[in-house]
Amino acid sequence: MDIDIIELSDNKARFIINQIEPAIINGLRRSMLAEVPTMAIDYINIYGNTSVLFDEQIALRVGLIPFTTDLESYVLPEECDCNGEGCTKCQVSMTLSSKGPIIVYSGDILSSDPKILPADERIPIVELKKDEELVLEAFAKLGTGRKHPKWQAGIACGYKNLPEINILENCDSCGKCIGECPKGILIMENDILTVTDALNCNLCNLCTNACDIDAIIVQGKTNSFIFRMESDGSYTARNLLLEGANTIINNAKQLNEILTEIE
Amino acid sequence: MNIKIIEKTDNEIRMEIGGESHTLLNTLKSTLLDDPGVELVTYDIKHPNISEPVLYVRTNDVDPITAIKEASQRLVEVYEEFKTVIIKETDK
Repeated sequence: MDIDIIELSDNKARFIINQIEPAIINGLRRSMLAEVPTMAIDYINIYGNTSVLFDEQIALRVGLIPFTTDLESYVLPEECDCNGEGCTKCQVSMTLSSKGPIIVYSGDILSSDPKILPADERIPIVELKKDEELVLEAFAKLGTGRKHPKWQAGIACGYKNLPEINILENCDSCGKCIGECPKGILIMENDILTVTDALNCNLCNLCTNACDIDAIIVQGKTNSFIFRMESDGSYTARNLLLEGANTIINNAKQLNEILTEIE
Repeated sequence: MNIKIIEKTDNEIRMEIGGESHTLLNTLKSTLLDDPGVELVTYDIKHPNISEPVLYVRTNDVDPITAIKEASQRLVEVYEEFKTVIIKETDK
């Protein structure tokens, strides 16, 4: 297995990965979308709300805010010693108190744990007019994307086979394929058909259909993929990839242990 | 993870893996098929919301439980390798 990173920032990554089974890379994608635990507000007490939004709408908007997550200090409520009733090991309390005229942003939420903070401080919750107020207490818990999308750590995770574009020698440079390509990656350079950015190809095969003499062949390389993922901010892109792998490793180890006990 | 063995013979096993989804089952299926001793692997989730996945494995001569254990061990190794490569590439 080898990986070639094309792009890596705090919340975005794009890389080429070679010699990997499709099922393994798909497991990673599914794991990052639905199995990696993240923090999100799950319980809310609204003490005062004279804003234009109903309590339920405020609760939904607050719930969808991503929080930075620390898996070492917290456990899932269903795995906690308190049986999910709520203790310092499985939940973080937060408060929000605002009086208009102001726009309330996610950054106004005060967390009791400095490690668990809104991933983005500029997510608007509600606009308060003069004399309107919003006072609430909220509890953030760990959860997984399978239960509710607010706990989904990975967004826009996907992969495609690495495109291979071969232009054969019998190409007569008619240029029909150039206009067909929706990505515009085929150009004519000194009367020779050239591929500018093969990675951008979406394997649509419109160019092969346009070619009367079958001089261009487009195919996806087996067991090589371009993987693209974004994080919602709960983890950095790098840590999310590692956590995605960790989740499957833990599950596989657990399966192994249980089967050993059975034998 | 709740494991329930529904049926077991010398070279066949049918078991329910409660609380898991395609994420583990499909990767496990793929790794099990890499084993030459394994003849057939399939799994089924009857209803996506209410059913638990049922894994069926048929082997040539090896014990199916051993085959599944070895496959899960290989799965761990593959993802550990992925982690090492990611750490190596991002720390450059």
